[in-house]
Amino acid sequence: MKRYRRQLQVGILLALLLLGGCAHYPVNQPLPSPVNQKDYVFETFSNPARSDETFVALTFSGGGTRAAALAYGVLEELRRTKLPGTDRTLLEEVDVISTVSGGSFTGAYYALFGDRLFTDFRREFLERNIQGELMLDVANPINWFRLASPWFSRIDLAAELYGRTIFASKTFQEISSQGRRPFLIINATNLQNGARFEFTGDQFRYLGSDILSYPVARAVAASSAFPFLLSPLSLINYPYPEERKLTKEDRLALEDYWNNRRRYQAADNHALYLDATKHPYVHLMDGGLADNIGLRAIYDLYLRKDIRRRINDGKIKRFLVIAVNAKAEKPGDLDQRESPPSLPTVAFKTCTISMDSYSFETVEGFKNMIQERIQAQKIYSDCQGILDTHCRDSYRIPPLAGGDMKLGIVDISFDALPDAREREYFNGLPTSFSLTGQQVQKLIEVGGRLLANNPDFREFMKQAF
Amino acid sequence: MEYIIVKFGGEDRGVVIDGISQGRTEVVLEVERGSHEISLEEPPSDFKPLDEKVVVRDTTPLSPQEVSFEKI
Repeated sequence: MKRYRRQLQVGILLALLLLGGCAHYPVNQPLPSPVNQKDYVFETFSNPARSDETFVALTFSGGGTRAAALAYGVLEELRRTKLPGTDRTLLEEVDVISTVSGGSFTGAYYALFGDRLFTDFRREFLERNIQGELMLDVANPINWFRLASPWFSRIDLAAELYGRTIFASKTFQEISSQGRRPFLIINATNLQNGARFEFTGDQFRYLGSDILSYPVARAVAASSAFPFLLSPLSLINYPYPEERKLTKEDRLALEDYWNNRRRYQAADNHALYLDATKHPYVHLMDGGLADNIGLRAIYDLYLRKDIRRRINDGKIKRFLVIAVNAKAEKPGDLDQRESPPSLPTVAFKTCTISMDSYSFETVEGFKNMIQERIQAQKIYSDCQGILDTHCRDSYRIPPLAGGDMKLGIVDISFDALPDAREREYFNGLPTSFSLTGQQVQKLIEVGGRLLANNPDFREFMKQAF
Repeated sequence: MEYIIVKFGGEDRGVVIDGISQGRTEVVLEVERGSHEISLEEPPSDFKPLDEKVVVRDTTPLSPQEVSFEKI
């Protein structure tokens, strides 16, 4: 009897190991047919009720729950901001949200559930101990067997948890079928080339893959897969005709090595996916490794994609970008000891220093680009003014597409807080998926206040409306 | 940012840049520095050449690169 029991136990263990060993992450599906390649792209997110006249783009940075709560506070303030002379709010004018890591939770929830964010999101995400729940999942013996599989890892457990408890197992189909803006861009990083990887139809076309059937929770998990704490998330790169993978813009940009290295580099990153035999898989990690504030996606839209097209078509009269950056900078005491910092400190600094410096340069670079447009408009109007004053039959200079747009970029960060003690408090908050209710409440409040008091935001609202 | 102006004998017509419709003729359009393929919206296909490849660089809003199409 004892022998049979032992055999049964061994049998169950073997069966579990076998089943666990077979565990596999949910794979992205190939594109069913070429006609679907335009799915989940910005241009299909039109909203007849709203024009492009006021174009608002938001970016939500990484930073765990700290970032998610700060972004939530900004959304609340946008909801309180009425457009002069209308009963509409500025939140209703938001056209695109680009998100990274912790900010992806807020952005994805809003894109999926709209105003339900303001009633449910605190309970469903912000005030939960997500990392504690994830640890419990990892500690569950059933999951040990699944985690023993080479095709299933901690990131897949995290994605299951997010899908089950936050995003109701929704896919991009659910966002797409609403057909309403904002268009959500969740950003991750391709470990192969270090390039930004966005969860959009355009990006998935390079993989010959269908984004509509892909779970939103997995995109959020990839976006927030912080190195070492979580494992990379994998996708399949399917063979697909080259003329469908690369756009005409890509092909022209690949000739621009000497003319425009940035444009060439962007196209070269896309060309990586052409050879699915040589590069059959894509492994993604935290979007913060490539761009921790999500502004690069807006940069691409402005420079060469849908925003550029709308400006050239003269559809945009007011253009506002709000970059919500939850970067926390602890003063630290590295420079107060003679002995060099420990290996873990050096490892952490190696991850974060370049991220923070790059974020700073990204914001400043974007500001320069906006300033360049403002200058172009001024040169045009000044020159026309001089001609009108000094020439009898004044010559009309060919008009600049988009005319005299009002442009603004608003940079939200704790650095802008005037009170040193308050600044220190927020800079001291950890990057984790577990904050206290009080910490969350303070972050939400400060997010709204930072936007309402931001001089660039106030100036834009005064000039543009 | 760089600037182009597409001319079609003074006629108003939609412009196509790198395969995407955007902007009109006789208006200064913004493009990224580098190689671009410029054409006009069809129908009608009453212009030549069918498209023109240009490298746009070192322009200003007051001196955009000119791309011309002839009516046929």
